[in-house]
Amino acid sequence: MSMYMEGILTQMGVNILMAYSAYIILATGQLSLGNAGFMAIGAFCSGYFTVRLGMPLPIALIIAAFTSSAVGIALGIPVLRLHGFFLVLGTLGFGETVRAFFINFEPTGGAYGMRGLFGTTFEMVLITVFVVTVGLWAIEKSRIGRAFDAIASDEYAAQGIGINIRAIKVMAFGIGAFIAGLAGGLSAHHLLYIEPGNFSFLVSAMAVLFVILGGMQTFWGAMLGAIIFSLLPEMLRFMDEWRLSVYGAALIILMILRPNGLLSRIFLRGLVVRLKR
Amino acid sequence: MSALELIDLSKSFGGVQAIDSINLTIDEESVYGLIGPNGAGKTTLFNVLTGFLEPSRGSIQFFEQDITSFQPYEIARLGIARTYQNIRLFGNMTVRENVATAQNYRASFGGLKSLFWSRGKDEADLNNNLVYLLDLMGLWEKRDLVSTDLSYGEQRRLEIARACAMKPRLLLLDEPAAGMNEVETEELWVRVDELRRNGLHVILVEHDMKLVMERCDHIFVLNFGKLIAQGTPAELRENKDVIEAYLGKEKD
Repeated sequence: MSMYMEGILTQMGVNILMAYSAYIILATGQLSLGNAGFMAIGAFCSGYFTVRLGMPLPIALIIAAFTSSAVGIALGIPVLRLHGFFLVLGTLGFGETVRAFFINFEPTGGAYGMRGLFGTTFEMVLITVFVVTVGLWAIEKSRIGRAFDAIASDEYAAQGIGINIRAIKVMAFGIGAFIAGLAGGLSAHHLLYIEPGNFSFLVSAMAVLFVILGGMQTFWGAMLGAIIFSLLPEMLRFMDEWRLSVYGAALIILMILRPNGLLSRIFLRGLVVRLKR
Repeated sequence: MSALELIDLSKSFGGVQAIDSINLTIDEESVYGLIGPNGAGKTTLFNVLTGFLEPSRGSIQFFEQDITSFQPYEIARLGIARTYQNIRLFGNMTVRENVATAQNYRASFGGLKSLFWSRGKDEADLNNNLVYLLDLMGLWEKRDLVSTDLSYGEQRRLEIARACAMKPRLLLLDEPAAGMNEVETEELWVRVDELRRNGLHVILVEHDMKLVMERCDHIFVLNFGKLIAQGTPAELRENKDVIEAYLGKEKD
């Protein structure tokens, strides 16, 4: 595989993970625009462990993801008291806070960022995406997945059948932060150099965009959205400066034609039935 | 042992006393009616009972346990299930999934364990119960439809099936017959009656006086947040306060 292909596929894997992290939170009907913050925590944490402490990358990745998850849970407990727009703004504020924190935090290089990070291989990304996908599949099939659906549909009725909605929402936040932490760590050790500016609001917004475009009823939608919209800019490369305009136009057209995203549950169910015949 | 006991229960919104010092007790497994003119506080009382509203004063005892400050999900798990005046089904699920989701907390393998062992040994029990409930409510044929594609009456029945999937000890029905014709109401009643015979306390809020008078064993009458009368249907038919609340005071 060429370096070019490997680079694109690695970025695609990171995008899939970011889409998953937005998806799991959206699955409980909540919207977070702060997932770049979790990604930054994963990136700088794992970077600190590998570069400064000389830890092997896989172990650093896992510790970083757990750190990110712990922050996610600690943040989720107060922030998930908010609803709708207020929650969106709260998470947005969190993302920017994390970025500002790393600009001032000297142990990870402050505004200059960190260099000397390396070691992310394509196989490593592939395995991570595979494991996380299996995890999401298990959640979707389980009672927890049904509780997610119930909360997304009607929080009031969900409580009425015994679902502890605060606990489940915080849990979704924790899982989302964990996945974003993994994405951050992998991305950092692929890019070789990271600075706080890499983890801007735009990254969080893109993660949500992948899910909305791909379809937010199942994790397959998140995956598909991330794949298509990672490849599209590359396929449009022949258009030079125009490609970003075309990219934007494609988003608008897709939203008009398929407002619920590319994949829906009904579509998937129909597909399974057809395949079984 | 009394199933439900309300002691001096009050709920005020600002200056409005939605529920005013209500004392009542429910013992036997039968059907209790809760009636009163619009704005009498019936739905508020349901919301306080199920933890969605916190009472301003007083306490709620459920099988000798004080549940006054419990969260809605805790109260639901203890065995108080309800339906809603305006239907609240999970529109992103099928009929069957709606009921199955309500069984979540009956499974001994709920929560995290379910990620790995979703086919526990009591799965069969739960499934039998699910089939029974859907069959009783006449929804078995429609089990794979999305819940919001059902007719209005079917949606109401599905809400009852979902509530009963929790194996509640007390079932609160908030106007289950609203918008139904006489035949549908009668049919619904036969189904609810069977649920009750399986061992269940039922409290019914209903505007259909015929249904309440014919089917309830004991009736509580609310007006302006106060419990103004209670008794058997026959007793209440003669009660002056009740007639006054519904028809107004006679001019001397």
